[in-house]
Amino acid sequence: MTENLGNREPGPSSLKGFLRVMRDTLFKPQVEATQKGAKWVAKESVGFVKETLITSGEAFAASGRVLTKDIQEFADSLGIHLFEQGSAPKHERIAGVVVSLTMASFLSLLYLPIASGVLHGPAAGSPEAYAVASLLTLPTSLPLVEAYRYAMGRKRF
Amino acid sequence: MNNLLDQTYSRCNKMIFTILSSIGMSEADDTKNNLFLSTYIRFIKEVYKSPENKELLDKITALNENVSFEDFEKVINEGKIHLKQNSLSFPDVLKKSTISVLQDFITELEPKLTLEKAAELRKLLDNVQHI
Repeated sequence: MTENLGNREPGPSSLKGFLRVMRDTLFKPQVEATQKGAKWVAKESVGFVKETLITSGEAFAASGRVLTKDIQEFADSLGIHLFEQGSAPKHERIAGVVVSLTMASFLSLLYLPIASGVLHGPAAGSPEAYAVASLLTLPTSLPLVEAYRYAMGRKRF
Repeated sequence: MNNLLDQTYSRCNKMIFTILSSIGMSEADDTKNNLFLSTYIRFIKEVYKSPENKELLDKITALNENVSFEDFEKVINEGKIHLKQNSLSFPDVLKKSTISVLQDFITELEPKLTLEKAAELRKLLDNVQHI
């Protein structure tokens, strides 16, 4: 009569038993907890990602609407009438936006230390140093490129 | 004065980045640029409206494409000197412009946010104003 050792649940004194006890008391609860934690994290992540995606898209639109309002008000203060996007022929929209932004950038020649700080953050050196650098880029390239993007509909407010 | 301006630039940048990062947009260049441009336009408008700059700005707006380069440069140089002498209020104007842009930004964004998130952003803006 031989005992079938393979079918017998090993006691805690054996290696197998020791591992079983370890599994049931230490690892198993942790795995379950980890799974629960992972599910919770995943759920939160989905919520976060969803919210981030929604707000990211909407934040871009919101920032564009604020900028549109500012450009229009600034153009008005200079006596320049800007066409609403889509309500005027394309070349007139381009002209309107370019004129107003060029005018704005022209005035900004005087305020470059401030303008460069706002747009680019503090640079190395004195404000005058990056004012000179911005002199070449800000009044010409930035407003014109931006105006072109808006006017051509490549960038939406 | 330059130091104070530098500090104000940094604070204004930080305000904008703090609000953007709270909605997961710290790297969103277009949104950031839009907000910076609005701040810049509002700042220019405030300076433009200021009575002590009126004479100077009248000179500038009187310039046209027929002006000689020398005359153009003369007006610009006069303007720079004038503004250096009258720039004490610039840091304050810059800060106020930044705050007003962020307030408008949050107002635009608010309908799409949960009540909790909107309240969080408002609270954050209140806090960053004192950065």
